[in-house]
Amino acid sequence: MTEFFLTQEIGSLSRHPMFKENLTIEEIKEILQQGKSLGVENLEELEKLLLNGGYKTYKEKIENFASLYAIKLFENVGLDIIFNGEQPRKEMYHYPLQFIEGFRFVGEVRVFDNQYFPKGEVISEPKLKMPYHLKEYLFVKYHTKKKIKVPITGAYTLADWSFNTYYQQKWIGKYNDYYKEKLEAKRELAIELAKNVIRENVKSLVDNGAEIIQIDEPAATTVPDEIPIFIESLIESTKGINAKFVCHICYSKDYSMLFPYILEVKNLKQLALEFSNRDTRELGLNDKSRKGFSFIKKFKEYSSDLEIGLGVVDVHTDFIEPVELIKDRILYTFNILKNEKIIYINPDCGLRTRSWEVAKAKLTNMVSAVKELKRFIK
Amino acid sequence: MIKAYLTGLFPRSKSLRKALREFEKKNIDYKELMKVYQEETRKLVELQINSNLDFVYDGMLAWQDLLRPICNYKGITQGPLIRWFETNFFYRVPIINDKIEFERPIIRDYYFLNLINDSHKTSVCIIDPLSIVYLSENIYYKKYDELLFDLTSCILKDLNYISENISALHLISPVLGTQNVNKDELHILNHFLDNLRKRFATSIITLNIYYMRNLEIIPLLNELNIDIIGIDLCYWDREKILNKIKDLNLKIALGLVDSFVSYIENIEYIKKQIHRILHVLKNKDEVYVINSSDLDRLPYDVAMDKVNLFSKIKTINP
Repeated sequence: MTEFFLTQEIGSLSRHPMFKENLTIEEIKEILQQGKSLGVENLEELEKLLLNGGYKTYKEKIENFASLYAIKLFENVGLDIIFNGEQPRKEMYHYPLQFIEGFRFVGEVRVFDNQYFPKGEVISEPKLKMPYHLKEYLFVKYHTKKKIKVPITGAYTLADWSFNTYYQQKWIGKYNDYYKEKLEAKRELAIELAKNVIRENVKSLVDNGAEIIQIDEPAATTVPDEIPIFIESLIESTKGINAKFVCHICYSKDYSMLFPYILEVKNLKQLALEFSNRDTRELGLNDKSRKGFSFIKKFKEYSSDLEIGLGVVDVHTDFIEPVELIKDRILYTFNILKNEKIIYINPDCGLRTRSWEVAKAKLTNMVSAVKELKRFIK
Repeated sequence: MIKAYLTGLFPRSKSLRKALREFEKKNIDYKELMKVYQEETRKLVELQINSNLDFVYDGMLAWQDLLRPICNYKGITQGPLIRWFETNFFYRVPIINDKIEFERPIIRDYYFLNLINDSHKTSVCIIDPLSIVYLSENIYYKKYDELLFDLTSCILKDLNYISENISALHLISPVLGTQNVNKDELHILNHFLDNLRKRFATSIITLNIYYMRNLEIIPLLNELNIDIIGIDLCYWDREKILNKIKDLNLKIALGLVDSFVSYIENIEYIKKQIHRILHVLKNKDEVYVINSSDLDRLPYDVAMDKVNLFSKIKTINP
């Protein structure tokens, strides 16, 4: 039977409490209890590790156990396509930069209120030190029979979130046009990252059996003038690689600006986008109730065979979307696209900022909604 | 001699960030937090004085974003986090869900004016009302001009609680640089500026446009009741902007110190740019150099180095 409405996660879960330093006996008990209910094996070993120094002493082993917990959670919930909840990664910018030559961290910059992120500066041509997601992928491959999708931060986002000192200094004075020089510098950085870092990483994954790669590009639509740079970097990142490519973009002012350019990326099979953050919580299949999904109509106009990864739960709130609401979000989309095979179901974005309990509850309702709809659509 | 000043959000130091986190966790009290604010403000003020800046401000260190204090006005609440223009900074959208009315002074509590010892140079920054409206979500007012009228009245009443003896009042406008604004809106803005003039009769009023790429607005700026127009010259096509601003009658502040790049600009490069620009400007009197937009997009140490750069810029002979 043809598969449709396949469920997937976008990437991250919050880092599991087992990463915490100085865990109390009570906390360790809770962690083990959770492992037991998830069906994780070899918990005696985990207990020993946690009692004898934990993450500080046994970095890799704890990362592996946390990954196992995530895999089990996704399997138990019933997702079709999974990964490891990005447990070994602290976050999506700082983590990859540790494996790329040519960057240094220059300090922290505010994201909002009193929240800051460490910002890198490019000081020479970026080069990959070693493929940084291969170990994670091989671990997941060994521990699950489910389909695997490997998320990787994209070249444009790495470029956009960094200070581009090296290339700006290289271009300054070339055109006597500061803006054009900055744009060229940005393009060169994004393309070098695509060719020398992202493509090399992706190659190593695909050579080892990875079939689905998700390129995360939250910055893709931040600067409309730079959409061509983003597109070119995506083409370069995926060039010559035989895999299914998904591109995840979120919190965009307007996804329309991606079109028609995104169709130039011939390797790209799916766009996984955030919708529910901008939607209402009212039930209904009308445009007003489903205002967050208004882009779907434009998506239909632009593209007939590109798949859509439909963000049906908001990752920025503990509100657990009821099954009925999720069903309405999917049905609204289905009624427009009229092709269930191109609709994939996922949260808006990674669930990094939610507790595992909330993440599980959201994913459980997501899977239940799909099950009910599948009966109905059949 | 070139003149200079800073505007907008300045980054917080590590110790201030830490103090704010500790305050949130209730590990330190308000008095201890204020002590850190004061120390950090003093440092920044001292640096501006040492860099020989012509106006000195407090860095707006207490502001979470340029719109946050406004959310305390009666009729306005804090909404969701939204991306701030084409940056990776997010601000809380003010939600206008009732009639905006002045209830109590708000803005004065966000400034640390008492820490700027040199009263001849004291300045304050505030976002302009048009930008506030554009960046807010209005679900109460049916008529746009009523909204603008109530908002500007409220801001003016609020500003009454700030000493009238400030040297300069800097209005920051990210919206004029990016959106098409019609003549009616500019008329209301000018009415607001007229009232500011009455209140701050001896102060210099500047309007500083961030992210400038809206060429249409430039000729209209001559009509505004301001003394200095500041223009971000780092965000978009500098040549096209220069071609438009060259005929302005206003004194001009050149936003040449880039708030989006982490390297410190070469002084010779800045000098060359200033000379090139001065060559075409109609009004060459009192040319200022400023930061292109909020220095808060940079790490603290880098921003401090950029302020140091101004001491060199100040020595440039136009």
